[in-house]
Amino acid sequence: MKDYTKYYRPEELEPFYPNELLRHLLVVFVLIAVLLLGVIFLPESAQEALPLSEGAAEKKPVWYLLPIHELSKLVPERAVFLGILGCAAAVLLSVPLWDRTGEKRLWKRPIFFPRVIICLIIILSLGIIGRLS
Amino acid sequence: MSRALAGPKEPTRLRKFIKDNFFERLLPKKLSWFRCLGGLALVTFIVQVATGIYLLFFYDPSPLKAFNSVQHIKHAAPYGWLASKLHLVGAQIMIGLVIAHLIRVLFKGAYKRPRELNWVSGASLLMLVLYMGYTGTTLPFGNVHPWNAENIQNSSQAYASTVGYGTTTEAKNEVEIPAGATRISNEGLPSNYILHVLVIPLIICTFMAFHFTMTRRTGISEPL
Repeated sequence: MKDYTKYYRPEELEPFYPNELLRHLLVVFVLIAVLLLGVIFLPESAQEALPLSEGAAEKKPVWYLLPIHELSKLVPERAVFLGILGCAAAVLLSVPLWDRTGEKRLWKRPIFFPRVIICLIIILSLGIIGRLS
Repeated sequence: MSRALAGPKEPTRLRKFIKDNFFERLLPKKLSWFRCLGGLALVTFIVQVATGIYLLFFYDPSPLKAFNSVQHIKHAAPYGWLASKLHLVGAQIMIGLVIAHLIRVLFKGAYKRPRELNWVSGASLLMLVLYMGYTGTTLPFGNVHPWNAENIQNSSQAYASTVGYGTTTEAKNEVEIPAGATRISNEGLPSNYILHVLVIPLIICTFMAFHFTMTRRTGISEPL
């Protein structure tokens, strides 16, 4: 376990119990409240599946699958589609290799940061297009 | 508390573990609230496991009964509506939290040395939860989005269709299905079920254990 006493003065540290633990509990209660609000206010139709005999589904995939779904429509060839997904996964996993400078501040990473933004915009655009189409 | 901690002269390993990690653990004061995203994702995962285990008692993964069993869960099983909806909402919140956590780590540069393996395990967890969500959406075996069904179908040569609420036609190796309706393979559903309830959760637990071990070892990146 990391020993923070080596890096901070005693007045800059606080105990996990009770300070940090109470903070964690507060955040967990907020999460549970959000979950219950979702249960109450999410329309039933959002989770209702129709029997297959009802014909084609008009529902779209859930929001987190929309970008991948849109990509699959843009690239109908299954092998190419899977290849793109594989490349994207490899790029994501190898992020520490792409950005090897010790700098953590965003404005000091002028090459890496715009690439991340572009990737996020592409993913977001695919999702929005998928949602609107 | 001091009396409670005093205990025997030589504390057991468990007591020492609790003392070191709970009562005597010190953390930096100036930490952002956003550092909680990963922990919250863990909490939602626990909610998913709990509700998922409850749903397991009622769900039938056979192609002819799956849709019926989901309707039974929602309308007849005790608190089934609550469990199924919590499972549905929890999945979306969990994936949202994992994505937010990953984006924050990306912007904060928290993947840099010595936390490269934290990043690799975290990014793998994101892909795994996405796949988990994908397999989960196919399990109701209803009129899911055709894209989901087509992808499952590709893994198998045998197809089946259901009519009504699962009161159906017998499953054949290859049957005609209503025009435009989704086709889900006969074998695809049970294999997706096994992936969703056993294989992916086990892999996720393994990666999470590694992720948390590494996080404890390397510490919170902010502001170090």
